[in-house]
Amino acid sequence: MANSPEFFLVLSALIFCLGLIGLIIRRNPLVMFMSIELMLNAANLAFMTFSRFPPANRVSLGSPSDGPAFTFVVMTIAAAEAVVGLAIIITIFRNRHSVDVDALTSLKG
Amino acid sequence: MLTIFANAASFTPPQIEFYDLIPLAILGFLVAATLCLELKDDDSPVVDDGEVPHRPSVLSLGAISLVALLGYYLSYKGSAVGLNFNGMLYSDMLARGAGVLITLCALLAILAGPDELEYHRNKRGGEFCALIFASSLGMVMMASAANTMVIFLGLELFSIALYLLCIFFPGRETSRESGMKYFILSSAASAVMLYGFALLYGATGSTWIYEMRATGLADTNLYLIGMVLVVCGLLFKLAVAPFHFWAPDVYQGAPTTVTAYMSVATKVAALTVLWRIVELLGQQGPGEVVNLVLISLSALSILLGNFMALAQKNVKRMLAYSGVANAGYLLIAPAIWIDMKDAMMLFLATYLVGNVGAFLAVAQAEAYCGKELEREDLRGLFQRQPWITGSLALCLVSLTGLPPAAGFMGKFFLFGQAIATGRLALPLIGIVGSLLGAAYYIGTAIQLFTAPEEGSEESQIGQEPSTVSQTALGICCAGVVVLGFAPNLFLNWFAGGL
Repeated sequence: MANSPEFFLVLSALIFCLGLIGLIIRRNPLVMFMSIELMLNAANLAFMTFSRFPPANRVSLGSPSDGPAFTFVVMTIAAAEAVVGLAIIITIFRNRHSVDVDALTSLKG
Repeated sequence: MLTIFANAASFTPPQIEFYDLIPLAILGFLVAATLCLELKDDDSPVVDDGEVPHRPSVLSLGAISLVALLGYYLSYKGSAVGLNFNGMLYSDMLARGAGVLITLCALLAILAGPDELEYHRNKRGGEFCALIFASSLGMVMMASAANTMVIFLGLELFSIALYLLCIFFPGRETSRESGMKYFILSSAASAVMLYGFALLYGATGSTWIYEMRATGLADTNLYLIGMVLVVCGLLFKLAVAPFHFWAPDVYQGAPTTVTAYMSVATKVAALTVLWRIVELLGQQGPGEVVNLVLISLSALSILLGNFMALAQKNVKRMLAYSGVANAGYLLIAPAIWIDMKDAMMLFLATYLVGNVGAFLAVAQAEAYCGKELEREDLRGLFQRQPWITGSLALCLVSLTGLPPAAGFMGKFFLFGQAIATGRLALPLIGIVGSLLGAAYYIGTAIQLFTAPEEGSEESQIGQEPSTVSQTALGICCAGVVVLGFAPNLFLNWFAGGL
């Protein structure tokens, strides 16, 4: 089973949905941010799977290593995003000593 | 080791047209130069009393470079369509048109930005400029990308810079909230789009968007789901209903200059990519599904944006909902199957001068009145600040789409070309939406010229706009007038003639 693309694709789709659900139901920005990271990693898993099991009659300029290359790009970008995201969350926490997103209600209408 | 040498023998040097890479090089250089010259290691971002507010010394360098970049774009003759950087980047008029608009937005933002920073007693002018340059680098890269990897790289480069620009005044509750909301929602949208790219890669085995169709593998369900996810991510960046819910909050809370910049420049980048994807999709199979989505969401956001804007009291929030409505008008172009990218780019250009001008005028009025503006606060402002108010009124007239302002020409060409195809539903909805829009644009403009109520105390006189930010506003007004009388200047350049 572990040698078929279906297994990894279903796993990746499950992780993606888990991240999406976490983003919707959790109210702590740190946990929401973790959920977003889950979604990015689900995409990484999908890239690696598709690179290992490419479509049968594929004709492309690229090589099978495009998938892993994309994964590295995504990992780098996710790290940059984490730096900025955590800085934003810390700024909020410093000013109000709570990070609950439901308390962010000064903009409405 | 051996395999490496074997590959090295068959190595072909990449085909790079360096002339077409000048914009990316200039913007990248500006980011680096600004960071080197302006980064300070003092902790407090706030100007102390008595201290002279800091004007970034890099401002003139940035302004001159951006003007030179505009000159580079506009002096381009011929409409060669090609690929550059080993097929990673398009160099066509769509990419150049988007480049002009994004560069112009960045120029206006760095000219008007320092005034607003001074009003908020913030001395991080250098970082402000660096973030603006970094985000325009990302947008230009995304607008010319031919590979999903480059699209994602550009997307994240400008998004991350914009999160920081939204939260640029961390002492203000609204700015913090805006940055937080934009960060969470926008990075979620990026993740959705990335998953779409992964599925497209799986379906076609390629990361090149122009190659996906040619693989002959493009009619699977995997491809369809991937396309829908990618389009959803782009529609989020465009603030199209129902993916618009972040826009009013973020636009209202962010610094006004940043709102002016991001409300137009992100639309330019996202719409260019959306156009390329729609072109790639064709009209059968997955293309039909995406087309249906675009048509219905275009109609929805025109109506919803205009109705919601009618109900708003806060000026920036009203303009944010007007941005949702304008995103709806813009979607008419990719939703109708003809080559009307010239009308789309003209509409974007007219929207740029009108919308950025309106936001910059609001920023100056905010600094003058010393508070966030409700629509009633604008009442009678003309007697005290005729220059700001006159420009604001001109830009609002342009956004309404009344002749002879630029907005009329934008709508005329966009709706006209759409009607000429015989598909009347969307342009008619657009015209109804424009009539609704007139109610709040013109209502606000009239407010400016009515006499202030008797007995209402004169609001505190705040900061007068500086010459530099007045120049920025002047550029927008000039754009409104020039594009209104001679839209052919832009159209001819876009067609490669000049």
